[in-house]
Amino acid sequence: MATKQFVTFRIDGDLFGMDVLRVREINRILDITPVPRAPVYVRGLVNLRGQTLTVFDLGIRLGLAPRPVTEESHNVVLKQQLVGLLVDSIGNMAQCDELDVERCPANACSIEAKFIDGVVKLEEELLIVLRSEKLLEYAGV
Amino acid sequence: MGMASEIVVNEFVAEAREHLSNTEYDLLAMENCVECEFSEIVDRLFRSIHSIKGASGTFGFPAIMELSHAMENVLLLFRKGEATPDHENINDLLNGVDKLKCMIEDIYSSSSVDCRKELERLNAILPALGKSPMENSGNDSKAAPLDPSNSNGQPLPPSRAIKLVIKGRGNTFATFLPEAEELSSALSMQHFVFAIRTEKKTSVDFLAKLEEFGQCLATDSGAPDQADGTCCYLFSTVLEPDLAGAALDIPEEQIDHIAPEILQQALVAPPATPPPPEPSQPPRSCPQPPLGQPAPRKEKTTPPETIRVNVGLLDTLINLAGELVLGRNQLRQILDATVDTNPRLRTIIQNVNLVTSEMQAHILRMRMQPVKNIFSRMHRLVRDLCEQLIKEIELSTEGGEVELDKSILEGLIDPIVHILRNCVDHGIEPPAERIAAGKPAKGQIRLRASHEGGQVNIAVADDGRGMNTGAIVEKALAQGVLNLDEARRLSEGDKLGLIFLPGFSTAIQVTNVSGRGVGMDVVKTNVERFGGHVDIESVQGVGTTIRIRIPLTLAIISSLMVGAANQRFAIPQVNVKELVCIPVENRRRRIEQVGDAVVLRLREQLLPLVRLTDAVGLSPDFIHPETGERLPDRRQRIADRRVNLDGREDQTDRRHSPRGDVYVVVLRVVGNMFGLIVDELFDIEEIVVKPLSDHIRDCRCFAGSTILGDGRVAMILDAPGIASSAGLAFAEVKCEQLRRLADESGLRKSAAPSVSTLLFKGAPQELFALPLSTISRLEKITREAITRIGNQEFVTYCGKVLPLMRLDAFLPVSPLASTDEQLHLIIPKSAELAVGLLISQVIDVVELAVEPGRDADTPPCLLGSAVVEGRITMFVDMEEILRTIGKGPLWRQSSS
Amino acid sequence: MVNKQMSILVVDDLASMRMQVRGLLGQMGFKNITEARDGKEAITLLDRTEIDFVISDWNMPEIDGMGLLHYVRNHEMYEKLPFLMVTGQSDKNNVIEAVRAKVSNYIVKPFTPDTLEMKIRAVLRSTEPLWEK
Repeated sequence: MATKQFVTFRIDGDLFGMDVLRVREINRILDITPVPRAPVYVRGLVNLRGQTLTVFDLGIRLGLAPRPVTEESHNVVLKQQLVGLLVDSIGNMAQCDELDVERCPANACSIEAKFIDGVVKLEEELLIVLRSEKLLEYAGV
Repeated sequence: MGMASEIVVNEFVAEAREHLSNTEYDLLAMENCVECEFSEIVDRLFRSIHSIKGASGTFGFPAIMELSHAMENVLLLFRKGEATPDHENINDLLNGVDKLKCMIEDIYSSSSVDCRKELERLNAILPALGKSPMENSGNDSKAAPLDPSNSNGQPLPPSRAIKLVIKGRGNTFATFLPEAEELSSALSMQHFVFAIRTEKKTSVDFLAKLEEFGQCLATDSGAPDQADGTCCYLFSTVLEPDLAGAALDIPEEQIDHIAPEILQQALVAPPATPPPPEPSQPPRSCPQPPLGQPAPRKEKTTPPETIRVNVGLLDTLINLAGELVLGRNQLRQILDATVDTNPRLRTIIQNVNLVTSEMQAHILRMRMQPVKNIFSRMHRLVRDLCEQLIKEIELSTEGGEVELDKSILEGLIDPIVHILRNCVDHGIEPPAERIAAGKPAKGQIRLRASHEGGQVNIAVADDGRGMNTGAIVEKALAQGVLNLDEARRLSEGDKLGLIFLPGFSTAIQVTNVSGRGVGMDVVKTNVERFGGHVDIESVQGVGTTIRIRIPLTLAIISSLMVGAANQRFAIPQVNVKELVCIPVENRRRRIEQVGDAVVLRLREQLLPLVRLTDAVGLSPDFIHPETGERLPDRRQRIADRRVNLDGREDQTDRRHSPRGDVYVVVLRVVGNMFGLIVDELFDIEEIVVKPLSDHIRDCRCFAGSTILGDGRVAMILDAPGIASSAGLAFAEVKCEQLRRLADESGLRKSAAPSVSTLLFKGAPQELFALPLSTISRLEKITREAITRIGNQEFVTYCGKVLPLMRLDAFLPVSPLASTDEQLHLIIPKSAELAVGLLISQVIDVVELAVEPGRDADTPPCLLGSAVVEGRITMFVDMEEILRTIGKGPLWRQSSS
Repeated sequence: MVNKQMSILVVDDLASMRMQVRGLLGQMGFKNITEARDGKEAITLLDRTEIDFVISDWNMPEIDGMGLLHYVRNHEMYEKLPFLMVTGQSDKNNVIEAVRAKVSNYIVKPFTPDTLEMKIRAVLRSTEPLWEK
């Protein structure tokens, strides 16, 4: 029985999760330098201890509204690439059995299905598990 | 040996690679080195191959060991002077190096590499040498104990002598009475014990020799059969049986190895006789021979000590150093305010400053590698090429110690290889031709690296036949990359530059070395990829020099910091030509609109201008002079002027600086220059370049990012990207410039034979010409901007409605293709009519002295036609067109 | 009983060889192993730290194994310092030279782990195997 752990965060009130193994760190480095002419979901660049981290507005990336930066905002930094996801707030760690990750019903939420790995029914709400590799995919121009 | 761990093997592979790359270089150097260098080179070669041999055997790679052993033997002959390196045997060694490299690259399959041919050839060099002189042997003695006095084996107290009778070769016997302690000590050290016979009586010299290599445990104690004058010694040494004889310089027959088991037995047996005093025994310890001097120092001859570091680790270190610099900068900013309260703080800050900067510089230097790392392989390349093409060439290299960033260095290999191939193939003539030309038969290629003002120069110079610019131009014409008229205007330098055009190749004969497809354009592209430039100089009959100039490092660049829209940007210094500040009072005079382009008059030139905010797509802002607020700037064009109600221009425009001055950074991009208008100018800083993620790379305007002293990220501007994304109208501006020059020269000498003429296209295959003097402006428009009312087309231009006309309405020519989205307007000079002529493409402005031919069939509105640059071109009669349309009602109306 | 805490200096210009020897020494239970890239570095280390045993390659740049051996044996302090020289197969004369210079023992490359163990044992006059299970 393999258990999975998720970093959870909120966008527009919805709870999203990312496999903890795919997350490098979570921080509040939000002094973002905008990059003109970049794709809309690229919020800009920040200095992550001497390296430049590309920050995605996860709202826009998921096809929702842009996220305002507030006191609660966080950067979820991924492992695979130097990319951070700007989220509204960070939730608790969630844990579940691998088998409890269910396939996402097609109309479960308003975001594109390709970004969703599955859903987990937590005690109080639904956790939408995101696919980091799809979020990082670059279609090119 | 069993399996060495993978880490160890990986390390070995890396080391062997390094050794082999040096080996190749040294082998080539050995071929034509001066005598004094020779032994040094041979020693180094020997050491490298020897190391590889030893380690490969130990780690269990017998094939590598065998081949390196064979090479080592040849090198040994060189070292001893028993053979001299020549073309042939160096070839064999080089081939051996190649095979070794091959084996090393896939080390676990090294045994499957077929190197029989190489081995055979190498071994053939040393017929006399035969097998290697020393094998790992352990052959035991034929001696047997004859009379080990034995009884009830109790170990003896050590300080007693035991009796040992040894039967040696040729039925000789010897009796020794060694001390048990000494014997057992020798055994515990696993020393070999020998019985040695010598011709002479006890010799002090011989005893001294024995002591040199070990210990004499006993001498023969006077057995009766010793009358023949021989003397026997019981000798213990660490030397193996086959070495002992060599060390003592006595024939093998006189030495008998005594198996340790025998000695062991003798030790446990009680002595037959009590140890008699040994009067004849020489003093046990001879005076120690003088110990050798410390090994002769060989300074300077060996490369400086190095260790290998994983590149990833290095990059991490570079990042961390960058971070430290940032921390320091932040600290400094905060402490600067309070430094006066504590004077000691100042010294500390200064120290930390210094150390941090220095550390960063050193860490960045760690990515640097000497160019000799790549120069060394060029010797081999040239040698092989010469062989292939039957030429005689000597390649000399200089400046191998010049260092470059690792990634640049790697990127340089292909360009240099290509240039060298060209040199060997086309540059250097065959020997006969050279002799006929009065040159030495052997050609020279010099490969030279040097520093020049923050850049590194790499020059490849040959003394070959040089380039025939005539042939180059001919070829360019034949390939259609150039037309006759353009060709006529080219300078000699320009002509040489043609070889950098894509697909250009001057090889008359296609050989398999070069001249097939890929040419110098690849060299140029590769070099430019990392910010370098390529130049060429050539004198026919004398030689060609190709010069590559490259920035020192990719990781750190000197950049001008500028600001726009409250953001800071870095512009690499290599792109910055100059900074121009246009005082507010000169703005009207210096900045103006030419067609679509805003231009700056800079000395004799017109420079297209682009606002940084426009280029990167930021909304421009300005600081309100009174409130200090940042407000959006709504004006569309930089040349637009704020006009007061009374119609006079507002001289207090403050858009670009507190005074209203305009800051222009003049940037250089391939073949062109343009001005970038920025809001603020800051210092020049050394910045560390960080790569961009894929998601950003496509924005074109940026070359990378960097982290500033305050910890914020700033984008590095990419000048060529900006020029292209701003759609700078270089052609139009050039046009305008030529027109003005023509105007001026027209004023100076009215009877100028040639006329500046605009060449343009209508329908795809139809070319037209108009004297520039009839044109007021050129504009670029999109098809979308055209509005159609009835049969008439209009565009909005400068706030007015401008009617359009098409040539096919006046002339028997084809209509414009309907697919072009971008069109151009020619606005003719006319006192009363405002009208635009719609065309598809502006081609060029040329000086023409042609009289267009006219005949009865020439339609009105056409002056005639002529062949311009090899193509039929129609000369439009603009006056006639204007006269024709001036008759229509609509035109007069709109122009009023 | 061999003191496994003894400090052993492994001198070789090839890092792979050093790693290999270090690995084998580790398997024999020696804990305290120092490495040097050549004779020069070895001498510096000798003068600065306490070394109980030297295993040195012959073939090195700058100061080779022989140079190191000479240095060691010329110093009263190190006169008895166990010194194992590693040489190549064809270095017959080197071996003789080393023995003349009072090397404790020598080992010929390529060698097996057991040969190394045996040689070390020989130098240390140990009869029991050094291998740790």
